[in-house]
This record gives sequence, structure tokens and C-alpha cells, in this order.
Amino acid sequence: MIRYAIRRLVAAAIVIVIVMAFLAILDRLIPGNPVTFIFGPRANPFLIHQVRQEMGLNVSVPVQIYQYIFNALHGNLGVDFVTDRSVSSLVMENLPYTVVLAVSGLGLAVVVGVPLGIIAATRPGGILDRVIGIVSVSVITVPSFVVGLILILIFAVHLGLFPVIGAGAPGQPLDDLHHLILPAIALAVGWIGYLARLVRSNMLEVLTANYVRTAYAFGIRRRRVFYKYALKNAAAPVVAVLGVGLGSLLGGAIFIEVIFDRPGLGTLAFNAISSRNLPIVQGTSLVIAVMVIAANLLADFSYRLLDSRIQLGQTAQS
Amino acid sequence: MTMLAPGGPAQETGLTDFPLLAPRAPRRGAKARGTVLTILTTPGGAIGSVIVVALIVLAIFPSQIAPYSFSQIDVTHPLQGPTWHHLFGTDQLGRDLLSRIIFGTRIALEVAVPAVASAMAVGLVLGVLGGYLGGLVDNVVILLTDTFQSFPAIVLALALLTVLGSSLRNLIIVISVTFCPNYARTSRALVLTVKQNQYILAERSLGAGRSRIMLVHVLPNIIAPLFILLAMDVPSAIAAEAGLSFLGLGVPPPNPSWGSILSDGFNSILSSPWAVIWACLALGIATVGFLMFGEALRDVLDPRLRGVSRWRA
Amino acid sequence: MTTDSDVVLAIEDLAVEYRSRGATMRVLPGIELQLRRGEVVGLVGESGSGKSTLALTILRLLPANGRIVGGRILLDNSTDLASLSDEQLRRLRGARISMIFQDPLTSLNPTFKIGGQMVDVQAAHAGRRVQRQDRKAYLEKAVSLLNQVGLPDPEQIVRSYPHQLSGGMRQRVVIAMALSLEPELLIADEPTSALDVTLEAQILALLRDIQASRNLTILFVTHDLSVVAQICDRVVVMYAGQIVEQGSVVDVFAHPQHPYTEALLKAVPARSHRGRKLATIPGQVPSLLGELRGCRFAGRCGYAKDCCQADDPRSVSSGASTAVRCHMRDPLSAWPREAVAPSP
Repeated sequence: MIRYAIRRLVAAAIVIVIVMAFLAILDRLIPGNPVTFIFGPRANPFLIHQVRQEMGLNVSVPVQIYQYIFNALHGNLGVDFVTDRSVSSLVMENLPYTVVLAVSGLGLAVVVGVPLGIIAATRPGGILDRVIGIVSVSVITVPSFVVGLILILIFAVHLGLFPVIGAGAPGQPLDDLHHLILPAIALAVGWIGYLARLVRSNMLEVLTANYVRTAYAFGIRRRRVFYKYALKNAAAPVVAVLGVGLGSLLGGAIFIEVIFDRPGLGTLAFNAISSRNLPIVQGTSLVIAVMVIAANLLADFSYRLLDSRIQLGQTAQS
Repeated sequence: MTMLAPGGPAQETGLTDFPLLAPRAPRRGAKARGTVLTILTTPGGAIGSVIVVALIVLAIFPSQIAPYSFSQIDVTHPLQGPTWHHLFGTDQLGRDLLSRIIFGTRIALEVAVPAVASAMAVGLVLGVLGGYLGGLVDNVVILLTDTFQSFPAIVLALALLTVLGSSLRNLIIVISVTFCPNYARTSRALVLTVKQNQYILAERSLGAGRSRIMLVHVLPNIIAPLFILLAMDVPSAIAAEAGLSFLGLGVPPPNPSWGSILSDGFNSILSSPWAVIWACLALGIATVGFLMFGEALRDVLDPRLRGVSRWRA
Repeated sequence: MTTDSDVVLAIEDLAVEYRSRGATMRVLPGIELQLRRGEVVGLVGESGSGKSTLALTILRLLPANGRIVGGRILLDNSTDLASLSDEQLRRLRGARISMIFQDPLTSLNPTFKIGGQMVDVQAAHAGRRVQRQDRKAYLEKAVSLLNQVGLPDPEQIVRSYPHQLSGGMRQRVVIAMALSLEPELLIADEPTSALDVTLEAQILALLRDIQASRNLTILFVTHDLSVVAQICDRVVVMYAGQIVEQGSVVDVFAHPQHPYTEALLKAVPARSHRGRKLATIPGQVPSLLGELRGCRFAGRCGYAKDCCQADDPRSVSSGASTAVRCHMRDPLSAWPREAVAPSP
């Protein structure tokens, strides 16, 4: 187990390095001259040269990569073109908002989705199961920003129950919460549907397992079999999915932040793109990528822990 | 498994969904016909197929079907609700919403289908090479897929679009890149399972070369799950294109991508909600339709997921 | 002969159906079977004969699409298992009738320890709130049971997870679980089919010991005639959902009355057949969808005549066997008697 952990950590580290390398040379992908890309076709040569120097474009690719990685590891993610502020400080300012949003979304999805899946599995084919099934399928495919728009339309505009934009006045946690609800719901809806289906199908599959039949054969109560025996086994894949979920939610958070006009990495990146502010795009991409990799690692380890017994159990010698 | 549709986890995780396929020389004609007929018998499959066909027709013949051009401006009648002249109403520039939505279908499919198809093509090649050849090639493939999968698709798309600029072609490329790793991984895993089958060993002992084995024996047996993945990825790609256009990074105006219709509609949401409503409906129906079709396809091709009782007589 | 009080389980005209996507399959049309106290009955048949269905039906462990559509299953001449409520049936399971299954590798829950699972079985039948001292007692009983089934170091085993034990050990654990509430009847559904020959011999020896020491009635489902020979007193042969022959093992094996039984016995390779082609039974089991007419074995039977396809054979006594379902053995049937008389 430890050896596996080390292998995965090393692999993750390598991936992060490659990610940084990819981001480092991103500006080389710009068709045409990157400087005129920023300043327009009439920039004078002196300015061009100076900016190229600043952008590190006058060095070779390996050196550029090395410089970027070296700087990044020391916390220096470059400098914002427009306001000259350090990218890392910008990222750190905005990171908490995004993380709070993503985690709330995920938490909401688990708290609502998993019980729905269990309910659906208690009476497969019944009315409740079918309703939950149809709703789940519908919400899975609808992009979260569409859900966000619909929520805004109904709850914020028509009913006036929730605020439309912003993250709430600073220092007032209740107001923050009030502003968090609609965005978190918008993020969570798709995953609620997905988790409900996943839990349902896992439960049903586990319920056909031989050891469940053995439990029934020995007279163990249905309720106990369901909740104690089946649930534990069905939970493992859900944990694996959650890691992936966090990554997806981080991506979704970008849309939600833009629609709801909340501060966060998403808004930061979006504005940067509009102004072609490459260092910010690089910096936020890197931070998000690292978070996603970490989340996947965590989920992978938890799944392995839960699953190791199942795996070993089925491959043991007879 | 990074989805471009934010919060839109349209697929199952993991490769345990795909069965070990039997080494059957596929009689494609008969099998395909049988498959299509079976799909049409299930309610989900029937509805899904109808929607998919309708969308394809709309996408191919928008000019014939839509009452107006999508860019015909009429500033005297902006933001109207549905009327006899404009069944869906008009947008903030007086353009007919119905026509714009219809033309939006073409954009949606024009981007989604080539994107997913090329993702599958490239991913398939990478996966087969990595899975079958193993060793260094395999490690490179794994590294590449891991790297690209560690970005949430949105982030990758945004980063690439920043540097490449947004156009129809770039949209397709970018979306394709985000879907590619999943195909590479899936086909690699499938190849690994197929590789262990006895008939591969048999072929090798008979002296068959590697490329022959890969093309003739491995490929036909792994293609079915990939097609299922393709059908299920199209709705994600449609949502991705809509999302990017919504953010203003998709096809440039006045092209009526559903995403840009949504974006315009959002800006005028207090005056007239119809643009948002129709665009949401269009997106919803398209994604649900393709998803149902994909699920029906999966149920037909993947017998494991049919309700087979595990307890024998 | 035997008195009624000797009969532990009496199955009367039991009919079972499976429903799948609109089609209904009558897997068991009407089974008559009696199990006497202390006897070991082998239920033999090939795949699809309905033997497992019959075994599962007794405790109503059929999958969701299976249903009992007729008949009774009388336990101790008093309780009809087919008509009990779910809760009443649950109280019987493991307590008066226990069942063990084929695959030891998947019969135990991988995420719980052995001790916990064995305690659970006992606790499920406690009938009242289970206290801590009860659980302690249950655990001690579990250890003692594991000892009785021949497992070394039972204290360690109750603390282990299933995957830490080998398949043979796991099967012993399951047997121990089955015995924990001292049942009257043990149903064993191919418990040794997944084990190699040596392990199989050990498990069979264990079952023989248990049977002797507790006067346990065992219904042993298997497709393997050699197992029947080793452990069973009586054998019941099934084909395509029907019982085609019953009798003591000694009699049936020496003088099989039904052509199917005869063919089965011939198919068992023996040293004396060295150098000769292995005997098989050509053809396939008929599909059970829809109505079947005539003898179900007729298509594969070497003795079949016209009447066999047309009329359903009665169940008669013939030789030392009972419930022989064959026109040839039925003196009142239309089977042409002047043909070559097969072995008596």
C-alpha cells in the first residue's frame, strides 16, 4: 500500500511538472507575434524587444520551461501585464471563494444525491425510483450554467428570494451564505443526479452479490442487510467519483462565478482572457490543475483503502 | 474524466462498465441493422432516436426550415414574446428567435460531432499504440493523458482559446483536446484486456505481425464501447460549445450559437425571458435526446447492463 | 416403513415460474418430494434441470422474477413455507433450515470480519434486543463452531477478514455459520463444485461427520454423481424441471430405471472404459418456455417410441426406485412391450 502511494505521488509530481512546462510555453502557441498580440501591430521595435525580454521569449524553450518551473516552485507565478501585481497574490486572494463554492457544491451534491440513490434502490422499479431516475437523467445533462440561469430567473428575478450577484458583504457570514446558496445549488444539481444514479446502481448490483444472498439465507433482517452490508460496499465507488467530482466542480465554478458575478479564480481567469493577460491565465490554470490532481490522488487513495479488501478477497487462492 | 459541461458529469466512471468482448469477426451489416431495430423498440431509444434525427435534419437544412435568416435585424420589434410572425419571439436586435435557434442547431452539431469524432480517432490511435506496444510508448501515452486530464476541461479550453483565438476551427480543436484523453485511456484499457485473450496469443504464435494484430483483431473488438462513449460524449460537447459561446469565447457574433443566444438573453433577462427559455429548452432537449440514444445504444451493445438475474436455475 | 413424524420436509406439487421480459417460464411444474429425518438426499441433474431452483425455493430465496405459483412445502408436517409471511420465513432461515452455496469466495461479505458475520447470524434470531454480553456469548459460540468444523486457530479466524482465508477455509466457515442455530435441515447447493478434488473430499468428510453427530437432514444438490455416491443415502434425479427417478443410492446406481439415469451413469468415466470413447448424451435440454408435451427426455432417449413424444409419462414405481417418469417402465403405457427388454 505504501509502495503504491509513493508511486502515485511520484507520478502526480511528474504530471505537475509537465503541466507547468506546458503552461510555460503556452505563449509560444500564439499564432503570429505574441507581442503584437498584446500591443497591436504598431508597437515599436524597442518596446517589442523589451517586452520579449520580460516575457522570457528571448530564451530557448528548455530554459523558458526551467525558469517558469523554478519561479513557480518559489511561489512566483509571474506578474500581471495590466496592473503589474503579482499573479500569486491575485490567485491567493481569489482562491478561497472558489474553493468554498466548489466544496459547498460537492457537499450539497453528496448530502442530497446519496440518500436519493439509496431511496431509489430500496424499491427498484417503484414510483419513487422512476421519478428519481427521470429527474436524475434530466439534470445530469443540463450544463450547470444553464441551471444557474434558470435558478436566477425563478428565484432571484421573479421571486426575489435570493440575491443575484456578488458574494455578500465581507465580514457577514450569514450574508455570505445567502449569496452562496443559489450558486452552490446550480453547481450541485448535475452531480446530485449523477450520484443518485451511481449509488442506486451500485446498491442494486451489490444486492445481487452472493454474500447478500448468504445473509438473507441465514435469516438476517432485510433492513440490516440493506444498510449495513450493502451500503458499505456500494460506498467505495462513490468515494472514487468524488475526487473526480471536485475537479469537475472547480471547472464548473468558473461559469457559476461569472454568471453570479462572484469573486474567485473563475472571474479572475475570465477577465484575464478577455484582456489577453497571459500570466494570470497561466497562474490560475496551474493552481487549479494542482488542486485537481490533489483531489484525484486523495480519492484514489481512499478508494484503494476501502476496496483493498474486496479486491484481495476475490483473487485469493482457493 | 473531465467534462467540459461544468457540473455535467454525463458518463459513468471507470472501465468496469465495458464487458470483455468475445473474439467474434464482426458481421457489420447484419449486426448494425439488428442493433438499430433493437434500439427503436425501447422507449428511451425511440425518443432519443427521434430527437437525434430531428436535430440532424435541422442541422443540415436550416435555411429551408427556418422562417427568417438568423441575422435579419429588425430594431423596431425587439424583445417580443411569441407572436404569429415570430413563433419564438425576437431578441434584443429584433432577430427571429426561432430561426436563430434552428441555425444554432447546425452550429452545435457542427462543433460537437467533429470534435468528438476527432477526439475518438486520436485517442483510439494513442490508446491502441500505448496499450498494445507497452513500455516506453505506453508510459508516454499515460503521461500525456494524465497531464491533459488534470485540467478541468474548462480551464484547458480557456487557456488554449486565449492563445489560439476563438473561431469555429479552434473551438473544434480545443473541445477535441479536452475529450481526447478519455478515449485514449478507455481504448488503452480495452486493449489491455483484449491483449490477454487467448486468441491474440494464438495469432502471435502463428506469426502474425503486430500491426496486423492491432488492426484486424484488436480494433474491431474494442470499437463498440468507444461508439457508445461517442454517443454519450456528444451531449457534453454540445454543452461545452454552448458554454464557451456563452462566455463569449465561442463562435463570433452574429452566429447564433445557443450559448450566445443564452448570453444575449441573460443580459436582457429582465425585459424578456424568452431567449433564455428557448435556448435552455433547445440545449436541454438536445442533450437529453443524445443521452437517451446513447443509453439505448449501450443497453443493446453491453449485455451486462440488462437486468440479468445472477442466480441460475 | 416410515411414519409421518419422520418426514422433515414434504414438498407437494410445487410449481415455480420465472418471469422475464414478458415471457413466463414454468421451471418446476409440480414437484413431489419428501425428506426424512437424518437422511442425506442427493438432488442430481445437469444445468437447467431445476435442481438449484428447487433448493432455492424451499427458503424462498429466488431472485425477484421467480415466484411460487402452486403447491406446498411442509416443514415438520405443520408449517407451509410457501405461505408464510416474510418475517415468519426469516425466522426460520438459518434457525430451522440452513442453506450453503456454491462459491465460497463470494459467499462472505468482504468488508466485515468473520467473527462479526457469525455473531450477526445468531443475533438476527435473538428475538430481543442484543446486549453486549450476548454478543460475547455469540462470539464464543462462533469460536467453538469453527473448532467443530476443523479450522485451526479459530480465535484468529474470527478476527480475520474473508480474503485472508483460502477457499476451503471459507467454505468451512460458511458451514459453521449454517450450524450455529442447530437447524433440522441443511440445504447444500453444490458446495464443493468450486473446490478441487482434495478439498472436496475434506468437505464431504466434514459433512458426513456433522450429519452423524447431529442427525442432520441434508439435501445435497449436485451435478456430480461421484459426490452422490460418497455421501448420500438417497438420490433424486431431475431433468428439465421434473423428477424422473428416486431411490436409494445403492439401488439406483446398480439398477437405474430411467433412461436418463442410465445414460448419466454410463457417462461417468471408469477405469474399465479405458481406450473407449467417452459416452455422452447427445442433444440438449428442451426449452421450458411455453407448453411441453410428452416426455421431456424423448428427444435424447435411446428407447423413445412414438408414445413418448405424444403423451406425458406418469410417475410410477419401478424396480427399487420410485417416481420413475418413463413410459417404458409404466406397464399401463402405450410403450410397445415386445421390444428388447432393457436391464431389470
